[in-house]
Amino acid sequence: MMTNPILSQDGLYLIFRWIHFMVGIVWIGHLYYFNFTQGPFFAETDAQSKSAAIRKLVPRALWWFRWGAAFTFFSGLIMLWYKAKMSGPGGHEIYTTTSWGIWIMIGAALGTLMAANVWFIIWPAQKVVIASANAVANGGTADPTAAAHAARAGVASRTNVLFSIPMLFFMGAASHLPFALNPETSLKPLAAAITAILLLLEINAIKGKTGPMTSIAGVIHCGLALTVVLYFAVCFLV
Amino acid sequence: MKNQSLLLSIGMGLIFFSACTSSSSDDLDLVGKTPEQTKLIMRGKTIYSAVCTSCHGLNPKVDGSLGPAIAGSSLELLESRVLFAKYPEGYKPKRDTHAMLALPQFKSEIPALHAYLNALK
Repeated sequence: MMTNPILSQDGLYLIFRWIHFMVGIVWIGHLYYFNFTQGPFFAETDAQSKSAAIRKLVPRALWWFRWGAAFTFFSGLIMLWYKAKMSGPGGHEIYTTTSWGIWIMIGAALGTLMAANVWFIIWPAQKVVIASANAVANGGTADPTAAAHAARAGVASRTNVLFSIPMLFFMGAASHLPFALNPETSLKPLAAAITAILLLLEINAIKGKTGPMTSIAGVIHCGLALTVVLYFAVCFLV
Repeated sequence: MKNQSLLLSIGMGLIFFSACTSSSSDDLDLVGKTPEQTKLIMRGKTIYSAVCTSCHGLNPKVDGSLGPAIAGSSLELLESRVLFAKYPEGYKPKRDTHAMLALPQFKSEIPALHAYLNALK
C-alpha cells in the first residue's frame, strides 16, 4: 500500500487549493450568471416576473455569490502564506524574486479588488434594490434611490467580469508560465504601472459607467485586452 | 449559523495544522556553510518552490506527481535536464517519461538549485 500522500505538505496545500477552486467556482459561476444570464433576462422580462426574481431568486444567488467571494479570498490568502512558509526563512522573497510571485501577486490584486467590490459595492447596493422590491410587493412605495443603486452594482459587477479574465490567466500562469528573474531586479516600475491601471479601473467601478463593458461581448473583449496589457507590462518592465 | 460555525472550525483546524507542519528550512544542513553558500541554498529553495513544485512536489526528497524525487541531483544531471531536457550519457532515469520540457531561461539559477538539492538532510 502506498504511503498516504494527503498527509504531506503537498497534500495540505492541495486541500487549500481544492477549497480555493471550489468556492471560486461558486463565486465566479454566480458572477457570470448575473452578467451573462440574469441581466439580459431582466432587460426583457415583465415587471411582475422581475419583481419576483429580485425578491426570491436574487437574494439566494447573492448569498452564494458573496460567501463564495469571502471563502475564495481567505483560502487564497492562506495559500499565499503557506507557500512562503514552505519556502523557509525569508520565504516572502518568493513573492518578489520569482515569476511565480509576480504572476500570483497580479492575480491576487485582481481577486482582492473583486472580493472588495462584492462586499463593499455590489452587496450593499443590492440590499437596497431587494428592500425596494419587497416594499412595493407589500403595498409600499419604491425606494427612489433603488435604480441608482442597481446601476452602481451593475458597473462594479461588470468590472468584476473584466478583472476575472486576466485574474484567471495570471493565477494559472503562476504555476505554468515560468520565467527567469534576476533577484536584484527592481519591481517598482511594474508595481507602479499595475497599481495605476487597476486603480483607474477601480475608480470607474466606484464612480464611473460601464462604457465599452455594457454588452457581454464588450466586457469579454475588454477583459482579453486587459490581460494583454498587463502581460506586456510584465514583459517590458521586468 | 451552525453550518457557518462548523465551516469556520474546519478552516481554523486546517490553518492550525498547516502552522504545525515543518517549515522547511529545518531539513537543510547549513552547518559549516559560509553566508554566501547559505544565500545560494536559500535562493535555490525559493526557485524550487516557485518553479519545480508543480511537478516535483514541495518535498524534493519524495516523488512528485509528475517528476521523481530530485534531492541530491548532480550538477551534470541538472544541467542536462534543465537546459536540454536530456539525461547525461549513461544515466538511468528514475522515470523515463520525457514529460519535462527544457527551461533554459533558468540557466543562471542552476548553481542555486544544485546547492539547495544537495543541502537537504
